[in-house]
Amino acid sequence: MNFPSPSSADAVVSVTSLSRRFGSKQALDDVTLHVPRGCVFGLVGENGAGKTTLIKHLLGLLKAETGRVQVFGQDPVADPVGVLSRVGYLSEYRDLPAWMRVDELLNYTRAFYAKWDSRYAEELREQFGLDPAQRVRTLSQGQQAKAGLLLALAFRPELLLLDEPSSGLDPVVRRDILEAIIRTVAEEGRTVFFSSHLLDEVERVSDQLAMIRDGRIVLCGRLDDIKQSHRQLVVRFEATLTVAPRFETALTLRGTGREWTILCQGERGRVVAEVHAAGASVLSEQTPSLDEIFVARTAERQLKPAA
Amino acid sequence: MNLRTPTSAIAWELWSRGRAGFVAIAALLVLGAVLLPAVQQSASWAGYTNAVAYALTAVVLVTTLGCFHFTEGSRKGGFGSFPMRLFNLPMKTRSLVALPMIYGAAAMVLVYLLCAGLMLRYADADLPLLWPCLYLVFGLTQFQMIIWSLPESRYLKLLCLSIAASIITFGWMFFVPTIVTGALSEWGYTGDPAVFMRRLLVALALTGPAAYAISWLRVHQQRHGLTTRSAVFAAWWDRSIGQLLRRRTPFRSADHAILWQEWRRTGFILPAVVVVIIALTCVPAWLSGGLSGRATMGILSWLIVAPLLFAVVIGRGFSKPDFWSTSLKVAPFHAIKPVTSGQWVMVKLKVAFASAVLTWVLVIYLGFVWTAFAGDFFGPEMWLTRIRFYYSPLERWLMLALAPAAAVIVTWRFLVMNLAAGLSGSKAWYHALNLIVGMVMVALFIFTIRRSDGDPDQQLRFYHVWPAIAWLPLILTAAVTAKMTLAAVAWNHALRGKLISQRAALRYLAGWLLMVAILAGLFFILVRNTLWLRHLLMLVAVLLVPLAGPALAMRSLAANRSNP
Repeated sequence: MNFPSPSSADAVVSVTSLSRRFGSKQALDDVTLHVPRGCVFGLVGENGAGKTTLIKHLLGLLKAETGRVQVFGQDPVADPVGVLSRVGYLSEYRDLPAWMRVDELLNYTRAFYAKWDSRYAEELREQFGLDPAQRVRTLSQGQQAKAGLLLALAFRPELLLLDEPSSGLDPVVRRDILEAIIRTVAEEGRTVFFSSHLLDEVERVSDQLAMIRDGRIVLCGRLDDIKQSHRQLVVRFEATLTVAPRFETALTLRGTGREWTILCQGERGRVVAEVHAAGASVLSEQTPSLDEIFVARTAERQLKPAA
Repeated sequence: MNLRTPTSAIAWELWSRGRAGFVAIAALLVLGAVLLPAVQQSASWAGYTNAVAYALTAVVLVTTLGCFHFTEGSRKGGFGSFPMRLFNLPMKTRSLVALPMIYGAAAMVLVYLLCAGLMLRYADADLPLLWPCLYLVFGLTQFQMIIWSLPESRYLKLLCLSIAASIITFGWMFFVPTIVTGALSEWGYTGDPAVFMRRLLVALALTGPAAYAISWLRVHQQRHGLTTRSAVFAAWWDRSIGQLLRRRTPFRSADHAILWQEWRRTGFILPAVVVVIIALTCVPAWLSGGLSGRATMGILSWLIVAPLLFAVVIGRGFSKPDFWSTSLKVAPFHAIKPVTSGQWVMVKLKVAFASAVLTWVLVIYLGFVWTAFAGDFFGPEMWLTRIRFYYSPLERWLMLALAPAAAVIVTWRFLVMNLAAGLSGSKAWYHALNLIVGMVMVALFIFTIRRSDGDPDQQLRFYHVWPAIAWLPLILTAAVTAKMTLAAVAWNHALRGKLISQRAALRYLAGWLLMVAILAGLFFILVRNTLWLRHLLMLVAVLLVPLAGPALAMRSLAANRSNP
């Protein structure tokens, strides 16, 4: 079961039936999602699932082969200036020009954005501890991530696209600064769209979430709804089982003998009824973490039906 | 594939990375072996046998160098340094350096021998084997040594490469008996030219081991993080000159920011290279004592040719999104900037123009200074006398005003010649055009050398070409028509796609008309009596200044930005 994403009418980002193929690999397959204004939208998925490809489409760095991409109601390929002047982007690869100094990088980027906030940029520079005279090539990976984040934030973009923003950042910066920034941006009514591997971080800051696997959106909706729809049950069978039981609603199943742990999706009544029909009783029940849901979703194709 | 030794692993890497190049080399060798006998036997084309043989050989050898240079600088490759990813392999540095050098040297020798056997034997010159083989090994090892030894000093590397390229371009003449005998006597060498050439051959043979020793030392230093003089120099440069060049104030506009970036990355290169090459030519000539009028004119001619020649070479890099990157893709940092592709292309054109202007200002200034202090006025005086004889004072003044402007326009044209291909992100298109430009340059070089030989047969061969000139008006008219049609389509597409504003397009059109008028005006004055030639040159003026190119470049860049 997927969750309906908001309608395209009030969406900042609107992707409809987007597909993209690189050679024999289907990078994106019929992706549809809508990101409403003012929300923090997390995109999670395995390596190579298609997260960066999707973000590149939003920036107009890839042209849609099939389907439609609209950002602020405009096509980012047809009108790059109209879209990009409102979007802040932090690339996963931090591909900043290595030859520039930090202050040159700021001055250079500033020239492209009418709404550049010099005071805010200076505040962030000091907060991140970046030396204006230092060349980008001599910055550490973490410092380059900070510099990239600074550039993406300093003109207060209406949409902030962050591709693996935590990559290279130490835990203190990640938790205290990045998350604070993301929340601040959202509180100001602006939108954040970010991809991450760190599910605890996504869980802390996201309002909405999409999970992508093999180029397909397998889960999309409000974070609370997603968590509420999944449950983890510990069930006990009356007799010892030699083979894993089968449940239609189960995403993963682990255990041996009489006690089994099931992570499933669906209405509670239906799940419990299925457990009882299999001759088992529910010992305990809890809401799984996003991490557990992600692992279950990722493992789903391999583990179903066997444990 | 089962690779059991480092030797086979590095050989496999060279093979794997250069497969397309190897196929091209094989195809060109086969083409040469088939084409040249046919050309030689053809009554009307036999005169071109040498040019075709040498041009194909040059392309094959350059492709071989491209397959075996074994350098890379970033995750996307490049000519930055020795491949540092190999430093953690369990191999001694001496082997790590020796293997690619030996493979490269062996490949160059083998390919030359194949060229000699399949193509050069149809050329009418004597076919030497020893010195060309040593010379090619010299070229490859010097290139590798410079790149591997100076990973942190981009400008020093560029300087050394320019010097090496100049030496390699002209050094071969010292091994051609007919050229060296006359040149040595003119420079006051009284010994036996044969002895001189033997000594030179020994020196050439020693450069390979020397390049290996230097490369070994420098790669060893890099592998173990030892501080090197060039690193200290680079740090000093960054603290001193780098601070002077540091941009501290905000830019007025996005265009201004791109202009600054393009100039810092690309614009200064042509003036800097030309000044260094001129200094390397003029200073030794100055120190060597009194030069004859002919030698003075020779050096002044080189001053005029150098900017054009280097504009063609540097233009290959200028046309890419980033001169210093081997990748033709626009980096996402730049691709996501909210500017149109048209703005970017226009800035690139402006930077190229500024680069050409600065280059010619420096050339003219340095040319005057050098002639005043070290030259013999007899040569220029003879030349001026001829001009006074042919042209009226008004025409002379007009020529004086138009010639530098025309030189700037032609230099600029060479710099931006490949812009549409370079910005497209398509390696096939980019390299194909580079190949054509390379072949044309080699052909022109051979043509010039053969012309300067004073060979009467060679002069006679030009009369065979004469009937083809009758077709020139038709060919040029067709070319102009095609150009105008293509320009109309390309600009229409750029305007409809909002790649450029109408105002900017009109400004470019006005500039184009002005540049064509300058070239046409100069040709009009230069060619006084031969009316058909004057008319043909008017068409050449129209063809010389790019019109469709910038609009095509905008389209290429827009496509590149949305397909990184």
